[in-house]
Amino acid sequence: MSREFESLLADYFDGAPDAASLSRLSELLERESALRDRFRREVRMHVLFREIASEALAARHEVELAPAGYGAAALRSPAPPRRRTGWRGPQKRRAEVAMLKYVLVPLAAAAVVLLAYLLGRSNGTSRAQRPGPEPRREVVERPPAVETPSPAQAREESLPEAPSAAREPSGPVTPQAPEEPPPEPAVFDIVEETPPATAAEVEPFTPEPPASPTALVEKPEPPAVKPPSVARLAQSSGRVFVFTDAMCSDAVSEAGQDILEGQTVLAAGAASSAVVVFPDSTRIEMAGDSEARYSAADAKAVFLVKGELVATVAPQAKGRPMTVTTRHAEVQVLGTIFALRCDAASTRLRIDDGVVQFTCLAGGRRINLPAGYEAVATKGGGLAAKPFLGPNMVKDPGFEKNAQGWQVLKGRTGKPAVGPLQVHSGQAALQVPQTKCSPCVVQYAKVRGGATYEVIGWVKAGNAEAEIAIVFRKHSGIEYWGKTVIAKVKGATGWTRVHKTVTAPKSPKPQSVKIVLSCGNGPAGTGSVWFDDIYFGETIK
Amino acid sequence: MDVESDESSQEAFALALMHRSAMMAVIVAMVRDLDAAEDIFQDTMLEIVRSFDSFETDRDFLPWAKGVARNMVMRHWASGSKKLVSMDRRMLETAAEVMMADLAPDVWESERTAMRLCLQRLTDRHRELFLLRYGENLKGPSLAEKVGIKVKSLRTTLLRIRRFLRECIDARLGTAAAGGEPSHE
Repeated sequence: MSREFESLLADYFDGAPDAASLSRLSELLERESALRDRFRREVRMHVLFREIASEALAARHEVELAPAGYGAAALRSPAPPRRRTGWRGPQKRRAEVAMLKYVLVPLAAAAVVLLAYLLGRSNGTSRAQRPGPEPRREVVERPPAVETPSPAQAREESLPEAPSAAREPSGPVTPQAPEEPPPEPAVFDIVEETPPATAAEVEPFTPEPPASPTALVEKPEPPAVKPPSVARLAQSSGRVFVFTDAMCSDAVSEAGQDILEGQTVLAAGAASSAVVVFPDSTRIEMAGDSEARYSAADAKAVFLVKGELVATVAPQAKGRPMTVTTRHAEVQVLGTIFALRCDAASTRLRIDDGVVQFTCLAGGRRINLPAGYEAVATKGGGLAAKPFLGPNMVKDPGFEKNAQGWQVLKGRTGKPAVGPLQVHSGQAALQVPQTKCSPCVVQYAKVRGGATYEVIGWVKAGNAEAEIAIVFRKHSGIEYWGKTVIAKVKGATGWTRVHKTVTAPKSPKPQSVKIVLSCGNGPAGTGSVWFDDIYFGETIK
Repeated sequence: MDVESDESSQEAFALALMHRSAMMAVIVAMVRDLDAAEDIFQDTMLEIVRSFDSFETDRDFLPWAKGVARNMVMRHWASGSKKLVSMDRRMLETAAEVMMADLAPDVWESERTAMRLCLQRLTDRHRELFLLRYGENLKGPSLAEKVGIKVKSLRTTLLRIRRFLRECIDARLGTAAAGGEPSHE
């Protein structure tokens, strides 16, 4: 790439190109394809620079972004305390260096001289031999030449401070030689380092500068005020980053990392995902290409910048609902499960459990949505809701009628039971014990080829592995297709909601589906799993 | 406004927002100044919503929207806008023509992500300079005065920052071997 073109390009965007430069740039662009590619690249960078810089500044100043904005700055909660490590300006640094040279160093030198004098006075012989002037006078006397620094000296003043060894007074200032008049405080002599003048003017480009004493003098660290931790990155898959402002950390964040007040979590790329857990067990599952900012300053607050999350919100204190906000809408919850997806044009909410209040920010329209409903809020103020779940095709989904419609597969050991001891809702749940060949409980339902279905259930594992699965069937029990696992829950858990959307095959068309609730095999009598509130129904589009 | 036209406006607005960066690129390439480009972008958005009925739905939206953006810049230039007083028609047309070459949306997204990561590698001082230059749109003598260095030094520093970011993004996206830019022609 020609240097001429690069120079013209820099002038074009950073300077004020004259007519000849514009003409030459046009000529080069018309002539060479590679230069056109380079031009496009430069323009793209400028556009992205602008977007990211605006976002960062908005976050810094807590300014609501314009509609086109794309940033965490729209989070309504206060920004976390920020470290002030930004540009403080060479002028300020120069003032600090000058302060060191002209005030602190002379003071230190004067103190040394004064100390030497006082020690000399305390020695009777020396005092008798001293005919000279009062020590105080000696300190204030200065060589006339240093009163007006030359331009060269003035330039030196702007340079970084010299190493500490150079600051030692050069004269023999010791109490052991009081007969000699103490030397003048070497105010200007201490600057021995004279780098080239241009070094102070051209910024050296150092992406990652090593720490040095000079750097410490130039950029003192303010007292670190660490924002409080509000949540924890419980799971991290792929490229997940936790950062404070729009410029994210270079280092991939790992599970276990604290998320501080106001920090943003980015799951970069479709294959990445993250799970954030608040201290009260509220769980936010972030899908790939999602970005969300977390706060708990007053009540828990999440700002979904983009992408999709599933929130399982623990019961919140009355009057302090958790809020999840996007650029289009706000969700207020006291304890529920919902999925939220945000793109440039709209925010889509789906309620899986409980009730939430959904507000469209443009226009302020507000609705309360129950489970099984979804709603969309658009940039223009549109707000629409509809059910997304068809009727439940499962008979006795909550096992309140002694598991009517459910069957136990033959050839297994152990006996499933319905009881009230462990329930998610209602008065009963299904318990499946673990054995070396654990029992399976099944139910059949009719399906349509090509249709989409939602499978939802609540599962609890007690030292065993619970599984919900489905198998599509052709006719007469022929199972052309393998088992589709909806979810597995293992270990000792509380009630866990599982949910999966499945599509029935188109060809050959299945006629029914087998819903399978089972326990993993293991030593008998050591574990059990429980199932409750099973749902299988068609997705309403 | 009836329901149908309201929905049409919303769709136009949503589409324009989706392609904001690509449209801004056309305007920035022609106008050079970032503040002026954003002003013209707002006008472009209005024009897109206003004339969305003339957009044929079987065509791609982005080329049409870019055309609207280009026309909007030309309209500002023809009206003697101060923002474009230093530009000549040939350069405007060349810049527009160069930027009309399409880019897949994922180029923007991947470059944006990579750039945000690369920016973290700048020193605090250079990052602040970056914010002043591109966030507050300071440049030339005013920026040089603000940061206390000479204009020439500022230009050198900005060049180095941009080169560093370009190389960093290339390295992250694995496009360095291909010269950092897939050809569109």
